[in-house]
Amino acid sequence: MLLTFEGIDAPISLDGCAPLLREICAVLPGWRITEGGTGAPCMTLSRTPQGYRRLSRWSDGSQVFGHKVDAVCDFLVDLMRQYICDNAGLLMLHCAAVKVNGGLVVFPSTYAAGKSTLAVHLAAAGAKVYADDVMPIRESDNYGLAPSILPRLRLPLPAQTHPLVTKKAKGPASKAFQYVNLGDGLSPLGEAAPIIGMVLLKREDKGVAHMEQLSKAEVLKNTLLRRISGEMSALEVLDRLTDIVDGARCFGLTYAASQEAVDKLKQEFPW
Amino acid sequence: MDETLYIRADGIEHRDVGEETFLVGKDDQALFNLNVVGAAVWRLLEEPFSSADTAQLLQSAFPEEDKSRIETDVAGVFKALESGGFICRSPPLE
Repeated sequence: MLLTFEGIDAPISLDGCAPLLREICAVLPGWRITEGGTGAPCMTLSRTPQGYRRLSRWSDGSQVFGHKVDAVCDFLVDLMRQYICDNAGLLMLHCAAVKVNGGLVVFPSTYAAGKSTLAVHLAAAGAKVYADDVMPIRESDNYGLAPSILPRLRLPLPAQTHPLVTKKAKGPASKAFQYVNLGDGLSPLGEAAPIIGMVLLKREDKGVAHMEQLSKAEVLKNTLLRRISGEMSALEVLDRLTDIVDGARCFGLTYAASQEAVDKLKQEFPW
Repeated sequence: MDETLYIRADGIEHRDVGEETFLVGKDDQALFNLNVVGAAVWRLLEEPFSSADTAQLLQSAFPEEDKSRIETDVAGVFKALESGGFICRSPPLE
């Protein structure tokens, strides 16, 4: 089965795994995905006796996923890589991002900092989520673009997050991950907004949440480590990210409880 | 301490962000960050400077810091910049 994704030049092939389409469409609300396509596929997902595997520019098919949702999770990585290859001038950040008054607050990805969980809590508090894992940045004005991908939480869910993931909010899930339907809480595909804040997250086991201003250089360093730039030159990446960081208010947020983090963020960046 | 004179290599792009500096590798793929000490060294190397003279300058700018630590840090920065191709040996001053 060939699928054409809007924004991706070549089709993607599902070989013996057409049922994956249901999960793919569920985690990419608003994406135009049509059956058919012309030319050689840029990516092939196959069902084998061992599980689901993927062939692409970046995946040699050696990794196999037993669960279809885990296969889709991993497929999204290559999908977004292909998306920036096929859309010149796009920079991609590994980050979460939410829309507040005046623009976006971006949380560059840091290991085990809870940015996806925080994104769900922010949505519950009325903010619109742009991204929980990757966000494209367009060339003309360095605005962030909503990729319209459901947030993905690691299981088991933290106790304070459980009540937020109602039956209606539960999207596709595996033993390891739970996608969350945010409904109107997820910004639609392609919506654009300027980046006005950048916040490096640090999660601790206990303690009161606190925010402190950070230097532009520290945030830039962190963000440079989290970018995916396709064919773009390092100088262009550096200049674009420097512009973004220059235009943003930069903070570090240390927290244990997600709700406290939400409250701190709302004081600084109301919505 | 090394008295050899070094200077910035031709064609190296850099950007100053606050007190730090970011350098772009000659392959235009890699990015390097210089902290406050590294950035200070990079600024000096717009003109020929040796590791010894650089350390001496920084020691007088930061008299409260440990002298031998400054020497070691500066030597480390010079070594890293040279191996990265960001600086090269300068002809002796006339």
